Amino acid sequence: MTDIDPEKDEFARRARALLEGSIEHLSARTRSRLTRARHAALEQRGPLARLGGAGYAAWRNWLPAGAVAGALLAVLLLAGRMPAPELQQSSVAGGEDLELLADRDALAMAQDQAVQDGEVDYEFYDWAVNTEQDTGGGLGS
Amino acid sequence: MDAFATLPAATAGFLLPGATALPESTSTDTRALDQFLASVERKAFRIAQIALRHEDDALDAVQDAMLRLVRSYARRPQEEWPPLFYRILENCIRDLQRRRAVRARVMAWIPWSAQEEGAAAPDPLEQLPDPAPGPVALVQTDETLRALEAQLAALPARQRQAFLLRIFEGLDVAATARAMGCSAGSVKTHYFRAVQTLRSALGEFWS
Repeated sequence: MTDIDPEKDEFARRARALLEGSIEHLSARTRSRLTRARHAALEQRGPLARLGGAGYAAWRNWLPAGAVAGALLAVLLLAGRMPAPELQQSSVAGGEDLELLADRDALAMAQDQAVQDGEVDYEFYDWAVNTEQDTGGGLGS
Repeated sequence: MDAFATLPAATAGFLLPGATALPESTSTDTRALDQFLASVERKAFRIAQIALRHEDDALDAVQDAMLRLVRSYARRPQEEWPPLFYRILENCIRDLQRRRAVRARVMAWIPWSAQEEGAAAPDPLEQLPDPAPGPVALVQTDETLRALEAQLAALPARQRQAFLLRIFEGLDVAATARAMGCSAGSVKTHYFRAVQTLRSALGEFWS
């Protein structure tokens, strides 16, 4: 009931003829602007589009994989630049040695600590006793 | 994947994910697009002009629709271009109508806006004579056309769209349904109602 065939309907045919006739009489300005609009639309088919359909699609498909690889590389580079824990400790120890050498009290305390820890240099005491006996006086006097 | 099923109602975000690439070269695609757009641009302009009743707005709508079609759907199969293009065009028309309504509401609060709008200088290109036949005999045709345009503009948007796509653009029911984003049955109903309304309104011009 609601299906009207435009080809068979007289009203539809007349309406079509009127409307199609009207597009033949568009102004020069309108026709010019339509042409410019079409050219502007087609000009946006830029460098990415010129890569070609399949190439561009493939490039787009690899984009997430590239992003993940880049992120991994960045993490690895950052990890490589950070010093290892053992190196950190040795550098701290080196700093402490310098402070000990510069501070006589600290050196003495460190020696006392070494004695407490059982790291006693018995050869030194042998040498000191021998030297005292040889010189007949106190060490360093 | 059906491109038309995912087209949004608003003009924002026309890009469809996973658009399939065609094996043809880009230059061939561009030539085909150029031919397609050249074949529809005048009808599209008239459809937009009837809906918007404004030449510049109609040109803007057509230009926007062309840009969006090329940007987002150039790789679609060519047989999909007509319904896609007219769907985009209708969205552009609706956008312009909404923007115009907002602008009118804002301008109503500004007292000097009406004076400024009327002060625009006429475009010299508009003064060029149209290549119209010109005989007095065409006056009647011209009046009939104006009456038809006025009645079409007064129709509900969906009825006008169905009528113009079927009558003027010559799309079949299925393509019109894809362009309008509705079922074939709805297209038939909208078209039938449009014809009934126009017939009763234009009886005196059609006799």
